[in-house]
Amino acid sequence: MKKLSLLKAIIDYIWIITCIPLSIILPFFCIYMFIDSSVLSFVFSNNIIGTKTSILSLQYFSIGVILTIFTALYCFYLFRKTLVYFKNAMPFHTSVIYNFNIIGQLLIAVSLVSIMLLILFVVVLHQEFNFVTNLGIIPYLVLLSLGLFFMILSQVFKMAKHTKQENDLTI
Amino acid sequence: MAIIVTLDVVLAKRKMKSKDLAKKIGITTANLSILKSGKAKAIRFTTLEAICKALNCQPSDILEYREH
Repeated sequence: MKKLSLLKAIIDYIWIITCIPLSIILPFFCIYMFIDSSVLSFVFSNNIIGTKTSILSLQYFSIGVILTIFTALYCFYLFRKTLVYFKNAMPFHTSVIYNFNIIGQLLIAVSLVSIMLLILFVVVLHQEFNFVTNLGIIPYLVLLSLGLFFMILSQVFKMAKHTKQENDLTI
Repeated sequence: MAIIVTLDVVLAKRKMKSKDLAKKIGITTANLSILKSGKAKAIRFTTLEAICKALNCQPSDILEYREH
C-alpha cells in the first residue's frame, strides 16, 4: 500500500500545484482574451496572431483548447476521488467502476476534440499550431489509448465485483 | 433460483436452533442465515458434508429443485 500512498501524494501535489490554479486562471483567461487579444500569445506563437488568421477565430480556438483542458481537469479530479476509495480498501465500489468509465469516455472525447481542433487549425486554416511543433500528434493517440484503457479497466472491475459477490455468497 | 434450501424444515424436524447448527458446523450465523434465506449463490461440498453430518441427513433433504 506504500505505492498507493505515493501515487496519492503525487496526484494531490499535481492537483494543488497545477489543477487548482488552472481552474481559477483559465476562466479569467477566457474572458480576458476578448478584452486584450495580446494574451493569446500564451497559446499561439506571435507570428500567427494578427497575420493570417482573424483574432476572433483564434479566440474561438482558444475556447476549444480551454474546454478540453477543463475536461482533462475533471478527469483528474475523478481519478483523485477514485484513489480515496482504494485507500479506504473499497476497490470494488460502484463509484470506482462508474468513475473509471466516465474518465475513459471523457479522455476519448478530449483526444478526439483535440485531434479535430488540430486538423481544423493545420489543414483548414493552413496555420502552424505551437502544440504540433512541440509535442506532435502522438500525445492525442496516447490519450485515446488511455481513455480506452480506463473503459476496459471499468469493465474488469465490474467483472471482479461480480466474482467477489459470488464468492462472498458461497457458503 | 430453482434450487430451494429446505434447511429450516430439517432444523425444525430435528428441533435444533440455527445458532447451534452454525456452531456445530463452524460457520457464522450470518452465513447460515444467507443459506437459509436462499440468497447464497453456491455451497461448498465441505459445508454440505458438515450440515449432513450434524443433522444426520442426506443432501437431498436440504436441497430441492423446483421448476418455475
